[in-house]
Amino acid sequence: MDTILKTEKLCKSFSNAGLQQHVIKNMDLEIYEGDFTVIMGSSGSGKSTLLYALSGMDKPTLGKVYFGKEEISGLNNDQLAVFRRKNCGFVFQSIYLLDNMNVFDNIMTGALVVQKNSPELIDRVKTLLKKVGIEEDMWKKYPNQLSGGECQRVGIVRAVINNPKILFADEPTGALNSSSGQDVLDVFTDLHKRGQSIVMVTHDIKTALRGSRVIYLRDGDVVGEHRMQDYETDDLTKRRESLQDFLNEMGW
Amino acid sequence: MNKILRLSFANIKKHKRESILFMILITLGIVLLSASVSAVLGIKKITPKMVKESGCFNNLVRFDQKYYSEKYLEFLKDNKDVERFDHTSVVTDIIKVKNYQGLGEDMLVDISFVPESGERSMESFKTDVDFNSVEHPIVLSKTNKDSLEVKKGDELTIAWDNKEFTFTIIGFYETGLWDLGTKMVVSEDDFRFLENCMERYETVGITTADGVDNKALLKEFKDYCEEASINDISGGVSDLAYEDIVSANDINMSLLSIIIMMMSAVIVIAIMVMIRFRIVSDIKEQIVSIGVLEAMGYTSGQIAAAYIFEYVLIAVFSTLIGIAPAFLAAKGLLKNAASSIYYSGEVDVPVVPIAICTLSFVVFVGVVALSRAMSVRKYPPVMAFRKGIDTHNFKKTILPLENTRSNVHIRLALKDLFQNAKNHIGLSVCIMACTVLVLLGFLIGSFLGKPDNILNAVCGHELCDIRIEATGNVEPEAFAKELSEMSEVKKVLTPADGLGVKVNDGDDSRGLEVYDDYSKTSTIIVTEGRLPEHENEIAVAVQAMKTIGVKLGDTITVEHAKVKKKYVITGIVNSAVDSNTVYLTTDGFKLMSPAYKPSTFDIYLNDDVDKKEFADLLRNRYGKEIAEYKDDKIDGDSLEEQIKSTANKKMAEAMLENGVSYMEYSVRVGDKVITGSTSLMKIKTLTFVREENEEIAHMFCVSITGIAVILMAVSAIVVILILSILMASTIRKQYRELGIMKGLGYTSRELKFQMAFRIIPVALMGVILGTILAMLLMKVVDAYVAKIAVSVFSVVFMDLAILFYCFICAYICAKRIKKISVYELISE
Repeated sequence: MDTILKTEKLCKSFSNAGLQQHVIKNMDLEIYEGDFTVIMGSSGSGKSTLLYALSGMDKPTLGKVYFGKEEISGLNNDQLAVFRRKNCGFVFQSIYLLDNMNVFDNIMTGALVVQKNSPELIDRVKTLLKKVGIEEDMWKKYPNQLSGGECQRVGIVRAVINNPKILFADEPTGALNSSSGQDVLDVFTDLHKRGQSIVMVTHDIKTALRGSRVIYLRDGDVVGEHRMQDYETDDLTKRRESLQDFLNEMGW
Repeated sequence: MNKILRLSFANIKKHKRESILFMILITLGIVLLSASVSAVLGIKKITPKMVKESGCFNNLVRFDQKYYSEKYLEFLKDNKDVERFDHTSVVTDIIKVKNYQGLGEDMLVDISFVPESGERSMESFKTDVDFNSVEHPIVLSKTNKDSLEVKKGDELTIAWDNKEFTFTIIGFYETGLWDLGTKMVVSEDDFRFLENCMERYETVGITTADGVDNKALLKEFKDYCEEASINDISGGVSDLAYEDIVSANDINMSLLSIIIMMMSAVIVIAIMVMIRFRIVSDIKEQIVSIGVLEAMGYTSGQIAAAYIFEYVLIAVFSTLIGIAPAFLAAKGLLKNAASSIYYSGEVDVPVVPIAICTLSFVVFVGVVALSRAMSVRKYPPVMAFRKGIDTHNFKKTILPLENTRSNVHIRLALKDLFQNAKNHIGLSVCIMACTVLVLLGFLIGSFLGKPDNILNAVCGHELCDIRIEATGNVEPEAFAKELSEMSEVKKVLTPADGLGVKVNDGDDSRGLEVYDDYSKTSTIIVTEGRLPEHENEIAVAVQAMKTIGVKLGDTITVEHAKVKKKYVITGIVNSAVDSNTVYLTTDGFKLMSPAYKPSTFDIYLNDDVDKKEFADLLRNRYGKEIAEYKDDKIDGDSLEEQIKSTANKKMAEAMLENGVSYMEYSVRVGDKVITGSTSLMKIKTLTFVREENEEIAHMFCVSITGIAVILMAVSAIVVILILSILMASTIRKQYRELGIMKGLGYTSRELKFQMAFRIIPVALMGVILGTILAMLLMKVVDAYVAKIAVSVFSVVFMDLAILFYCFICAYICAKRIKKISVYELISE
């Protein structure tokens, strides 16, 4: 598989009350195209920090991040914004839909920054919404009229509307109940099956089971990696056991 | 109470930048409003104070010397209403002051000269000077000391025509009502010299007993003079009653303060709008915190009080900062006002209006804050936790993005604009008010700020290159023809000069302009109708229309030399300079004065002709001005030359002092007969009319331009302040949305564009309304001052400039978007 993202000696530290806190330390990591990469680790291990450094949401303190062959760690904020809209999609734990816009406009806001409006685009929004289970009667509703799961599915449609080369997700089911969480994860699985590269941060085993590669972080560095078969063809019990074993080994 | 104060302080601390901007805005408002109100009230006390201090007469009547007679004073001697009176001679002219303010350049100044005895009789003349200490002493008023930037012992050189005269300044004095422009006191000898060279008047000062109607008394006095004289003296007498002086002084002095008051009104609107906007934004932004506070037991009243305290605290702090500058600004305005009526004594600044204005500002801020803060009550804790869920309008989606056809950023900007349309009404009002100020400043400043416009469009008089007042020994038609045939001359007009008339049996004397053919005039412009063409037609200046109370097509009665005739008004003349003038044809004037013959010749030269050289040519051909003959020293190498010189001097004296029109002499010396006549003394006076007016217009333009620039600068400051506050509040309110959009890949530049573009329709609305209002106000200016040409292109250009300025300000003020970090938002 081709490498889509690569880090070289990636470091990220924060200053807290005058003290430097090194969250990611000299990390070398490769993310492969078409992979469903799951980043796990205990709280404070640097999962989300790594995700945002990889996605160009945040700049590393030291080291380099490459997207394909292009180094993105040296880009300024506006260049990073252009990079993100062309290449990345994001799904957040807190969903972050725009409260003042209805479902359709939330998705169009993400779409129109990249592409021009067209009947094809409108059709694609409608198709995707239907695909994630958001029916037409909800399209004119505002986020606070939807359930958490519905909002997150709208968030996923917004994230993939521009056919991003890579989709980043930070605890996408963290704020959802079990049933809604499963629906959302089914969407991710479906996207992966269609070849979408995904990088997801989670501390939930059920969520991690959907991935094809699990990376474990401890104290800001990658300490282990676990590969899995395709979710839909794999034996779920065995898959769960092997992942559990890996995590136990990592000290989960 | 303690909790509320802590909440208020916490809010101020949290929104430091906006609080500081608010403080600046409120301080600016307090300074401008307090200073202008205090000045307007203080101005009313200046004239009475000046009268008291200077001991001057309260009422003044000025006669042209040729119309004056000592017998007029009999009326005053026996009048029980008159407490005291006196009179003195004065000469006046527009004279060049050499090396003005020590800058090396000459400046034309309207100067009046009074003899020492005259000044002492008319005012207290409190100064310790000795007129025998130097050869040519002069005493200036204290105001002139500042305006001319001179000190005791300096030399003051004045020049007119080809003459120069140098005085030594021996002191300064405080003047009263009798200002006459720049009044200077000279020795009796020097006055006798000057009175031969300049226009001479006789001024009578009258102080009446308390309660006397000064205007009525002066009317009686003038009627008495009219009766006592065999001539019509109405054109040569002007009077100033105490009530009129006080009222005119108050109006003149208040103009600047009223303009400043207008500016403060704009700021008051801006403050009202901004407070309202910020509180609403604050409540929306902090709705969850409000819910938490309510859940913790704070009442909505306490939370509202915290908001009110926040703004009242800012206002109180602004007051503390603004009160001293307000006092100083009021003092500055009063000093400036006092200097405009030539009073340089101490001015009293009314402190109470300043205190009331600042207090009112605090109360005003509190009331506006109260009216908005009470909306907290609408949100019980649960609703607050839901972020005021019912505040969104779910029924209709404004500008759905699926219909986007053009730029998405413009669509998003407009979408937000319409979603928050109510919040933007205030901004529109602010921009409207600023547009009015900017347009008025620009239109008035750009028009009246150019000397050529003043001279050519609103002067109301003809401004020739050289004006000759001829002696009595010229035949007008022949002389005019002779002049016009000279190769350097473009045209020659023969107006009447210095005539006065009364209209519709009124008491006031009005200026009269008389021309043979108005189609040949250049700078007498009508705003409506046309200039008179027939003998029964008359044109009237813009303001005269208002004061007489007539309109185009009406018939008015004009009185000159006790003869009354009726004329039809055919046109309104644009005249900001002498607003009381009426305009007749020569034939029309002859209906009242059949013997009228013009003695003034306005000469217009070709473009390439040097005026000074041409004046010398005229002097060579028609003789010097007769005053110069009179001042000449008797000299000559031969007896014949000395005799001729003496004869010329005597003839000039006779022409000047006795109105002699023609003289001949014949002197026999031995066998030789020496003869001569006044045939080469045709020029009584020669003046460079346009040049003199250009310099006066230049000074006027500088002050008009200054006021226009101040108006525009204040507007620009207000706009940038309100947009700063607005943008800061909006960014804070939409921090989350902006962060999400950044996360979606919108660049800071695109978001800043969206934010700035949002205000364009609002600003456009404000600019359109402001332009309409400004145009209506210009109509008022047209009706009461002068018609000012308004170029549609300039107005559109200024409107676009205002819009562009608003956009740029908003774009710059939205720079904080750059600081919004998606990562911080996500990791919150």
